[in-house]
Amino acid sequence: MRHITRPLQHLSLMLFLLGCFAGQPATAQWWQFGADVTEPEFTDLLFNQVSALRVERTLQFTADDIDNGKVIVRGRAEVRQGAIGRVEASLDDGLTWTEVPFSDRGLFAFEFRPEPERVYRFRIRALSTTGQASNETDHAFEFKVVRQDARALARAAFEELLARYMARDRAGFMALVSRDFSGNESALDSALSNDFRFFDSIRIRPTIQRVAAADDRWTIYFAFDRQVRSVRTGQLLQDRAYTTVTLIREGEGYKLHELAAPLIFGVSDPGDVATFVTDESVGTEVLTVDRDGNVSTQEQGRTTQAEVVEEDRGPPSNISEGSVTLANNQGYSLITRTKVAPINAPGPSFTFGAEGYGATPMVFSVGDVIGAQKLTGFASLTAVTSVPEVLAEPSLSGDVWSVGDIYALQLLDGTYAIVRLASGGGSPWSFQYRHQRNGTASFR
Amino acid sequence: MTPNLLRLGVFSATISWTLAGVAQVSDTSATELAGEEPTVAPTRSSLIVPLAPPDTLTAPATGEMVFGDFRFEEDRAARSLDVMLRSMFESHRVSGPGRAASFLEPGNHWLTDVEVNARSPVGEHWNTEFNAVVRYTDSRRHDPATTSVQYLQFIAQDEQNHLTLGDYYATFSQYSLNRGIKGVGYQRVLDASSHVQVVAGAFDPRWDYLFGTKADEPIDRQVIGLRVQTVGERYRLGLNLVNAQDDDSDPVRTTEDTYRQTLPAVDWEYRTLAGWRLGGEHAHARTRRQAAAGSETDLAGSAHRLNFDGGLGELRLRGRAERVSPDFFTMGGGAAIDRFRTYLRGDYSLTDRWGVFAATDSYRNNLDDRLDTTTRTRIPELGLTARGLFDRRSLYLSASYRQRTEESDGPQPQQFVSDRIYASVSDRFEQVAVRGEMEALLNEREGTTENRNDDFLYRFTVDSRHSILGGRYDLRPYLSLERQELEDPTTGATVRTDGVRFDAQLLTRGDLSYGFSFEDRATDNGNPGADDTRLQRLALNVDSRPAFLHGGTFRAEVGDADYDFSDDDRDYRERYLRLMLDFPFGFGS
Repeated sequence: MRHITRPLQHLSLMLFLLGCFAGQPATAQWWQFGADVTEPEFTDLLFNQVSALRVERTLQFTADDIDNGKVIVRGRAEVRQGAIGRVEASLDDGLTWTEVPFSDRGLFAFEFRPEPERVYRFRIRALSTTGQASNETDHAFEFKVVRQDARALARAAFEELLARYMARDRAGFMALVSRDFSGNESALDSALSNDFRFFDSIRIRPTIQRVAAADDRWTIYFAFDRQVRSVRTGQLLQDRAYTTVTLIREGEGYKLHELAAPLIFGVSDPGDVATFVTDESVGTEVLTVDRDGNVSTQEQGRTTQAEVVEEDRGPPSNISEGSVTLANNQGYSLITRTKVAPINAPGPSFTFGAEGYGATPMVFSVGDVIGAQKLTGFASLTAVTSVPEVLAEPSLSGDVWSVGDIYALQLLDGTYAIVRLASGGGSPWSFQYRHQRNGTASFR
Repeated sequence: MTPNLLRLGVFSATISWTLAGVAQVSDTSATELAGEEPTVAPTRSSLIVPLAPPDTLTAPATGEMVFGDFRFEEDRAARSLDVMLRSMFESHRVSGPGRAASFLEPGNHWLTDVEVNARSPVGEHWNTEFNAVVRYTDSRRHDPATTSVQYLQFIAQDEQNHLTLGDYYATFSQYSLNRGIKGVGYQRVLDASSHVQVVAGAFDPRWDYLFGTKADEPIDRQVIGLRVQTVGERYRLGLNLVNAQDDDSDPVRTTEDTYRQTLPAVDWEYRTLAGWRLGGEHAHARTRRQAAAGSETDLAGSAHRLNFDGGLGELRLRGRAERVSPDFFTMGGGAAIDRFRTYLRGDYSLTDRWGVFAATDSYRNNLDDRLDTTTRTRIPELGLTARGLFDRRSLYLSASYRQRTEESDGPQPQQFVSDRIYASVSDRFEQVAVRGEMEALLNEREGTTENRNDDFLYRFTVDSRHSILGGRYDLRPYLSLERQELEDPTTGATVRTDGVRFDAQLLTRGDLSYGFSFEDRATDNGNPGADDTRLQRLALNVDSRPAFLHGGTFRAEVGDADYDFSDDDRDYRERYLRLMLDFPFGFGS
């Protein structure tokens, strides 16, 4: 079915675009970009220094945007064939119009004194000497002077992005993304869908370190504490790092313009969403999500990608990651990803004991293990890039371990895994794992 | 709650309203407080005062000059000193056997920022400004240091020159330089349409990294940059040259590679007669990478992007093409490396009510065949919108179909296809707005592993505003109901989550508001051995702007969150109290 729908879809897309072009009036010539040649267009529209050409619903001004209580509107009306005969503006949604003088080149200007917090329903139109009118609705929007300053508006936009994200509102979030988003906005849209499918109960607490502005762009550099719950495993994961968000003034307000890694939005696809890395977070454990919905933490590298794009050798990596919490005398099979009880999983198992447990060292086990070896010199699982292909037989009596110890395991199906004891000293016991399912001993 | 921590942001160079300014606009009408935004009477269009047509649109509308993050306005207060105290106290209590999983920092903690802004004229033509933010906190969650300087900046400017020392947001272009630095930024206006900008400094995010070595600080990275920009009636052209380098001898360097690079870039924009906007940027980076072992590698890469948008009658088109080579490293800018991407979107208005849109996005990596595997992604999308059907002005319908195909070739090719079907409907019934959404993701993977899983999301929201008790209070309740059903791609088990959220705000005629928030999410996890979970959160807040704070604000929050797992050993509960105070002081002529 999919093999049929995909070509049909591309075909329909092309037909749609062709139809749109073919539907143009006969007077339009394809080599001339633009609308109907006799229809006037506004090609510039400035409210003081702010471009209002593409405002769709609301244009908000702060006190800083106002000059001596005035807004000076300047612009240009043009028509390809013929001449501009009249320019009119309205502040009451077109109930009354005021004629505005214009130059030979279609340039015009007028001013008004807006009252704070009042809504003005702005419209502007141009008529050609042949009576053709511009499309009024193209430049119809509400204008308002708000109490807040620009920084407060940018900060409010950031708060709104956080609120939409924590409420898992993808459509609402994407409405706050700039059309000039520096990363890939389609990838961001897809990544948000995946974020919301794979983790919930999102909590992000930012502490802003620095806010800076240039032109109409604001960058917010902040530390964040984050907690999410993996939908698949129910595990709560946390990370803490520094990152940067850039907002730009566009249309009705400030919108998301650029994201740095580590990402707080669109975590599922950092390689296509983030455009740079916040240096201070390099080496910090941050949240990552793979395509299967496995949520884990990994060290932030120097590139935005979750996995560094380097020399790629052998079969594609297929690593599952996660963490498991077990009670005393529980076992866990990495192959089936299920908890088993009592101690021993089906088949051979590798049993961990704990310091201080003396005569009863067996506390929990990882089942389906045919080889095991303790690895030294690694602080985290992501630091392990490969393991020995030949591993010793697992000790039946169990190894004494300490929190932070890392073991390489060979499983019954021939695949390799690495596990790290994350917490212990009493039930529950938790360990993190990375399971390379492509059959190699590489964990890149 | 969380977003209000953002109140603790530092002072930026854009100046907030003075106390007098706040007082001017604080006289709000009862209509505004009732949430109904006042609109002008028809006669107000006479407020429009026609002016003589300008000769150009490139010059500022008034005598105001805009330089980077600073505005020069002659009518500003000549000399002033403003101080803002932003302080927060938080008390967190966590209990239960699984309390170690809480992300709150237990105990009582303070966070206080003092922001200073001082302005003073020097001579007849120069204005100066000083900004600083000093922070105290006893929580390492908020800052690694107990006391720290968060922001430090000195500005001196006249009509042609603008000099910044200290914190400076250097924005040249996306590929070349777009970062905050600590150093010097200087901009000089050459004429009404051109300026030159020079920056030099370090990318250090914190001031204490500049003075002494901290264990967790990143390697020192310095930058020098030059930008020349000219703007015409229909175009803007920027020429950029950036040189950046890491400090090889930085004691914090351990196993990291270091980089030195020179990056020239050109950015431009052109607007056609019919309102089309064309733009782009072209950059080339020559980078020398030195490994910790001492070996050096020379890398050269380029990045190009072209974008356009405009209209063809009822059709609005927007497109972008971008190619960033694998060896294009930018130390001060940003780019997703090793990507070739094309994007095109068209929105077409069929009638006043009906519209359709189509978009196609495709991108790939491995541009120089260095990798064994190339990943190609294609995302076509088709959609339909309708507004005002059945004579209901507020009724809005939207439906779209989107397919994301990701293919990897190489020895073991893989294909991942995800079809997304999305539909939403919204309407307003007097003061009550409702919205329903449905999203289905049908995923299929072929390759070394083959599986298929379908995910569904349903959401229904009600949002309303009510003026109650004769307009004395404005009540704004919000209700959201959500169900999500995920199919585990490995086990085929269903993970079902049901969520409800209710928020309410009560705004009074004075500067006082109350907030209430409740959330309940329950997950039924069909995976063997996986926990079912339930989360309940409750929060209350009060916001006040009392007169004795002279424009400052006070906020109090209390909250309770309960995490319940089918494995009782993981249960825990969080309770918190937060008090926040923003208190401005103002002095000056």
